[in-house]
Amino acid sequence: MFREFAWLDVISLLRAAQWTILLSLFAFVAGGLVGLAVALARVSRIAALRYAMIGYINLLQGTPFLIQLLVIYFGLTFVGIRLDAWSSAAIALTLYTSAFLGEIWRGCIEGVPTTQWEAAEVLGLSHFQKYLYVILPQALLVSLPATVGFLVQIVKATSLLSVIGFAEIMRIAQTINNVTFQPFIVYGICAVLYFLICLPLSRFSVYLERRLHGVA
Amino acid sequence: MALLEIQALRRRIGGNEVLAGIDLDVEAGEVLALIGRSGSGKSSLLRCIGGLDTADGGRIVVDGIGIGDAARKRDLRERIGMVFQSFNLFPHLSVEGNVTLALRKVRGMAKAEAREIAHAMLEKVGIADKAGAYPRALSGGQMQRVAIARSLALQPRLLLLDEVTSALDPEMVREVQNVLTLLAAEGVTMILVTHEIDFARAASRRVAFLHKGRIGEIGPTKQVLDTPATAELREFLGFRL
Repeated sequence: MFREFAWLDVISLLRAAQWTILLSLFAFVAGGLVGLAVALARVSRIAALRYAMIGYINLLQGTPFLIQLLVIYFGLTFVGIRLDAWSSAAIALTLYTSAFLGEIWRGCIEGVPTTQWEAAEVLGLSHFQKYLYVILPQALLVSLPATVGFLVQIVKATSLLSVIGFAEIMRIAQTINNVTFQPFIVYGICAVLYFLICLPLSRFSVYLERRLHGVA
Repeated sequence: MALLEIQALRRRIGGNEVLAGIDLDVEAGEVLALIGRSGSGKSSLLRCIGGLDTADGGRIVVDGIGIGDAARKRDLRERIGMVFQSFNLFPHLSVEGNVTLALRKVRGMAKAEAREIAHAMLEKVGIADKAGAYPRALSGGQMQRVAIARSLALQPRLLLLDEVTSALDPEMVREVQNVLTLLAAEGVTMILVTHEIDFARAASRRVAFLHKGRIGEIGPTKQVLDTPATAELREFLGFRL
């Protein structure tokens, strides 16, 4: 028997949206930290490290996030590694985000003119100090619009976590739809929620792009 | 002993010998201008002295320390300052931030002390009122003066200036030139690369004319520029005048 779609369902979806936001934030922070390491390794003077990172980035950018998630959650059990949904989601989101942010930031690091390195060199800054005080601040400033833009992709990617049972928006929507069978309303509200989360981010990205134009 | 000693310096880029055996001494307190056509090797020479390019042969000694002496790289860096044609200020830092960065992070000074030095240097180049401004808000001449102040703050024994007025309007060239004249009077040792003869004449006491990677002529500024001995320099000056 089906029941009617009720206001209570909207509240459930709003609660689930908290998970979507939380997962997105986690992906952004953890993926950002690993992504910074990926970007630095990608422009490292050590060739082996550079090539390893090219492999890492290609692998993660060249396969669907859903497949990565399924391999980590279900696939690893076959080699004796049993991960719960939380750990699987955390690892999958971190890997996925780090590959993309790493590549965005690598481009921005390489975009800082050589003359900035030279100016830092003649002032006597060490290699680490050059990165910390001269190169990274400029690269990250330039990367802000693209970085915030990618955050929108992360938010949408979290919807795939429903397949491993995460109670985020998509999962709850499926559950509600199963008992109400009103897909247009349920998924419609779902879309509106994603839109409301993503729109400010997109707008912020555009704003940053305009604001930072010509700064660095 | 001269402050800078260069012997048989060579550098190749691809199949080209851009420096084909340079011998040069610069005394403390001297201002030397390197002139010559594009591709004559003058910027290459300066970059080798500044440690930005590596020579393929010969040696450079600054204040008794050989360039390439890895163990004393830091000592060497402290002795050599360099200013570029395109200023190369750090766009994300204010004028004061640009000047204090190395004082704080390389010299390990406290913020207040670094600021004090920065303000003294900015005062010297006549731009102390812009300490809080960001590079993008400055004119070319102002940016170049900040770049000079940034270098001077570290009190280098030798200041290298690579085409520092080439990107500037005539009016701004004068601003920068005045600063360099002041520094020369204070006894700061400088080597300046320029293709502007008037600037070389005004700013230097000695001129070296580079031609095809060698020093074609060298001597007191007035003598070299007024009575050039080689056909190449005569042609170069005639072409310019």
